Formats: sequence, C-alpha cells, structure tokens
Amino acid sequence: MSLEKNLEKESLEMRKLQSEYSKLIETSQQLSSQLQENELVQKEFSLVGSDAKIYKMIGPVLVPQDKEEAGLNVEKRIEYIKAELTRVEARIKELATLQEKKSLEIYNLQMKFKEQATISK
Amino acid sequence: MSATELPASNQQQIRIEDLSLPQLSSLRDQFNSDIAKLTQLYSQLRNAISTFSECNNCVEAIASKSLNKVLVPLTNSLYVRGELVQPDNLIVDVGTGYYLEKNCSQAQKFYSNKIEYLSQNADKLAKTIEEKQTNLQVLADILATKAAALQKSQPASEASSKA
Repeated sequence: MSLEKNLEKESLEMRKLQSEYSKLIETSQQLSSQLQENELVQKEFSLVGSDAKIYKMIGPVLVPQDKEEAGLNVEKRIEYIKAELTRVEARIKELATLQEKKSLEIYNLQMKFKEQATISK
Repeated sequence: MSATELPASNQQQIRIEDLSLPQLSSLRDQFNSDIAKLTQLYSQLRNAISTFSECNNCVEAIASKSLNKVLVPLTNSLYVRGELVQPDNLIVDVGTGYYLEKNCSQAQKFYSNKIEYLSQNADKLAKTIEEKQTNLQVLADILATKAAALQKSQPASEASSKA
C-alpha cells in the first residue's frame, strides 16, 4: 500500500512542478514581448532628433516628456526586464531538470508497482 | 519563440518509431496544440499588420490634403465636424505609453517600417507552422501504421499491451 501512496504523492508533486513550469513559461513569454516592445520604443527614440517632442500617456492625458529622461526610463525598464527574464529562465531550467528526475522516479515506482501486482497474482 | 522548440525527445536522440502508442498520441496532441497556438499568433500578427496599414492610409490621405475635414467622435454616437489645422503634425503611438510627434512623411516611414517588420515575422511564423504541420503528418502516419500493426499482432486478446 505504501508504494501506492508514494506513487500518488510523487505524481501530485509532478503536477505541481508542471503547473509552475507552464506558468513560468507564460511569464517568460510575456517578459520577452515586453522587452521587444521596449526595445522598439528605444529604437524609435534613437531615430528621432534631440528636438523631438515626446509624450507619455498618463491616465487619459498626454504629458510632454524630456527626451533624455524618457530614454533613460526606457533603458532602465529594459534592464529590469532583462534581469527578470534571466531569473525566470534560470528557474525554468531548474524546473525542467526537477521534472525529469521526478518522471524517472515515477516510472521506477510504476515498474515496482507492476511487479508487485504480478507477484501477488 | 523560445518555447516552440521541438519536444525533448529529439534532444535525446529517440527515434519516433521507437515510441509507444500513448507516447506518440501525447506527442501528437502537443503538436496539435502548438499548431493551434501558432495559428492564433499568426492571425494576431495579420491583424496588427492591417491596423498599421490602415494608419498608413490615413496618414497618406492627410498628407495629400484629401482628408482635412473630419468628423470627430465625442461619444460612440455623437460626432462634430472638425477641420485639421495642423495636418502635418501627428502624434504617433510608439508603444509602452510613449507618443512621438511626427510629420506626415516621418509617420508614413514609421508605419511602413512596422508593417515590414511584422510581415517578416508573419512569414517566418507561417513557415514554422508549415513545418509543424508536416511533422504532424509524419507523426500521424507512424501512429496509424503502429496501431494497425498492433491490431494485427494481437487480434483477439485484449490483454494489456506491454508496448
């Protein structure tokens, strides 16, 4: 019976790992699309002259922005997103190895379970 | 597009022919959902492209002075007549809440660049989808042959298959 319980416990853990994994994948996709958007904005900033007028949408109004400040702002955001992205990706890798281990464990347990079942017959 | 790599089975050099039926069918399901997701992304890209081309058309109309009298929506159902006093002064949404003031030719260039960029991505995506579909076809064929072979090898006995 303990084998069965063990198997149950392991597969529950596996499911937890999987759900965290897919959540993280989603987060990393969101982050990379944000990164891309910010990089596009940065590129756009670099294309216009220093006398260009930049506005930022704050609530329902467009507020004029200093170009340098806006550029710095976007740069900071890109840095932050990049850091987040590396953190999330590291965790994803970690989870992937954990999942592999777990699935092996589960497989072994299943094999043992089958063995027991055939013996008890 | 980092999440669209081929499934892990390729990394470990497992031949598709060696996989068991349940493994194959789960792989097929995964392929199916991948394709569905990518197709959705593709239509989103297409939508974005058409939005930008519409913007481009508007800018063109403004630039050619054929559009200087407009109806300004105050609500969904209430409009007032308006006239563009500074037709060469446009404010363009460049993303993440930032807007840039541009003249017509700059705006047109901006939108053309966007459209080109998105079109390239859309083309790439279309290719990926096509590849996935061929892979799926191969997978489905193997699955069918395997299933047929299995049925032949154990015609009557419905015993648990030790595949």
